[in-house]
Amino acid sequence: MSNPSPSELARYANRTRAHSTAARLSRRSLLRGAAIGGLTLGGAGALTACGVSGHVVPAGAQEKGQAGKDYSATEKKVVFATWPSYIDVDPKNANRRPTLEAFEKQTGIQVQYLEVINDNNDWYTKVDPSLVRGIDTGYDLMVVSDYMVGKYRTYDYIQELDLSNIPNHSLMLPQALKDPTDPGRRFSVPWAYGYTTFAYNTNLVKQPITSISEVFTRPDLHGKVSLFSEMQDTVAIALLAQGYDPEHFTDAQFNKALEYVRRAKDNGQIRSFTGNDYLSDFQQGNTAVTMAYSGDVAQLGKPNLVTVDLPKEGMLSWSDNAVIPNFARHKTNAEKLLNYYLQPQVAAALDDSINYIPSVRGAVEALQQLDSTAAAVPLIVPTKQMQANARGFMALSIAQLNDYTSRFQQVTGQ
Amino acid sequence: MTAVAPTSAAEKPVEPPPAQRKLRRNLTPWVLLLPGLLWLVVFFLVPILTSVSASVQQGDYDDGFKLTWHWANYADAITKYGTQYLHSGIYSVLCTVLCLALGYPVAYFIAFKGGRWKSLLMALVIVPSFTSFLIRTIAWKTILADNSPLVRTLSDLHVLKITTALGWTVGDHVLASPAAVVCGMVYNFLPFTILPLYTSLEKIDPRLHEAGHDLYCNTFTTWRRITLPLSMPGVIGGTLLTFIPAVGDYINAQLLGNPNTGVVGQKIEDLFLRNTQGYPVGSAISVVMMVGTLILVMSYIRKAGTEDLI
Repeated sequence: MSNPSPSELARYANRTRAHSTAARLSRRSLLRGAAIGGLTLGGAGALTACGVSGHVVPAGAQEKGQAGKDYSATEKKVVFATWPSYIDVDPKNANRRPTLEAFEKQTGIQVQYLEVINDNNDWYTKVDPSLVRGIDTGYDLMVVSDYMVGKYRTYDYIQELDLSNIPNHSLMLPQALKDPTDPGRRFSVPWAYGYTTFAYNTNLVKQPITSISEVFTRPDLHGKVSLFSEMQDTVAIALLAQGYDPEHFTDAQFNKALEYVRRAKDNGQIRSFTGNDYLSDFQQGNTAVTMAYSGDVAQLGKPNLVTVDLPKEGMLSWSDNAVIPNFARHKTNAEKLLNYYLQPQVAAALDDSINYIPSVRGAVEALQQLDSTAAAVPLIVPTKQMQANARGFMALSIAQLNDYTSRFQQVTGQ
Repeated sequence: MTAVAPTSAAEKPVEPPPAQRKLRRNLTPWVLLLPGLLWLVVFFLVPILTSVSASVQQGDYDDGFKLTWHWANYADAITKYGTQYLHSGIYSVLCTVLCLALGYPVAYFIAFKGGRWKSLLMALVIVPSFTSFLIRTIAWKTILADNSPLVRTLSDLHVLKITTALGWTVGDHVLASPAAVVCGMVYNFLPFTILPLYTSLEKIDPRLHEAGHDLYCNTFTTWRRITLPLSMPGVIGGTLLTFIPAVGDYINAQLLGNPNTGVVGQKIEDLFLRNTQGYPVGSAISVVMMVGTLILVMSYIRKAGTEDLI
């Protein structure tokens, strides 16, 4: 990866749904005309999304989000809402965050770093009441998953970035720029690319886990498996287990996947459906196998907790992205922060610690210099086989997304 | 204090005209009631009406909810969540019964045998609830963790084999099972059973026991014929104070249960917090729960024959 040839880059791109769905999307949007380009939930979804009526945000504002008064110059701060374990910490002192502190020193901007997001839907219902009324949410920057960027965009809840504040935007890898929910990355900056796979505790699981179906069926794992409460993660894994493609699936296949999850839940194989808080039960040894975001378990640094690099049937690839919600008070400061994290050295330091995949040109090289062992970790710099077998999640319309999510919650929601 | 006001006013040499006095006398109770009434209106009536109104609306967060008298929400609320209603019912009844079974002897002992240690013993019952409900429940996660001494012992004694066969535990662990949920609930609600039981037991004159023995009753018959009937208000009070919160409790099921121990509260939480279209059905479930609990409690009180409790 240090010196990627065009063909290698193409394969690298393939691992993210970013690339593959973008290609589909651009063909379709060409056919449908530029008018629906702004509605980014992809394919047929764009049309359905057009039908959303009665929305309070005036038409025409649809393009750029809505700016409030920017207090960046007078209030030297930025309020950053994000997920737990998503920042580099000093190995000697877990309360110190080196890259963030360096940014504060460099710019004089204080970062209020809040690990408050545990689940995309949870978070959406938390900020939505403010966004729908057209008032400031209190956050200047928030990290949300790829498909959610599309949802926020559809309702015009996030602001277009001022690229003059983000000169490093040009350093983004081409496959990150070709995002299906945000082509050209005018509204979002990727914070991390990663995979949804499994991790297990070798103290409790004697025989290594190599496939998804084992997790759902092996008797020795009965009642010790934890899955994610987010529809995309669990459904994608269930689709893969049945040999379907999460990037292109039918309603019937979705139903079968859901049935697969329901059966495992009903017979007691599944112990819990969790959000990002899955690690506490896993570390305590209460769950022996857990669905895991690729970098999380490696961050714990416990030799008995092992991540499955690539289950036989494949795995889900995704991105989490930083966006600026409407009426943010410190938009310019937030953009400066994004610009800072788009520097190859900073991105490398961040990903070295959080074990996710960088999306900035030169970051892999910087990582090799910084920490050559980390650069050899497949979760940070994935192997070609991983790239080839990781799949994205099909782009859904708002209606489909709501329908699938609520049917999934019917199964998992206890 | 204020209730005395009219009489003291009457003793004053300058007396207001009778009509004004009457008006004041009529107004006083209302003025005194005002803060309470306001409280009830703002924090009880308005939320209930909002909830009832939300239960017949349609829409979602982003496009707004509209009152369309969509009664189908109730059909959804009743038909789709059968297992959750069942779980809420079973767990709360079981919790109430266990709380009574555990709480009665404790209250009895403190009331009759406590002597000068009474206050200290009651304090021991109450003091744990000074810690947050949430923290106490999370503590149970540690007590019942898979490799905790308690669970290992139960497993080695093959107790878990029996409970698992009965469906109360799963495999060789207790955490994330119905048993854990009920344990947590019993622990959390026990003080609410003991307190009213203690108050009514404490009022019983110990000489009645002596009289019972004089009349050739053994201890059990004395308890059955004298103590139990006299402590009924405490039993009913304790049952209600335990059952009503237990039926709506979902923290225990959330933290100590598994995906097959879902209770209604969790469903409502999901619909409110993770589903942009969930408000109406969530409200409908809440209304169903409220009405259901009310009917149950009313018929219980009727049956027990202590209307003076409410």
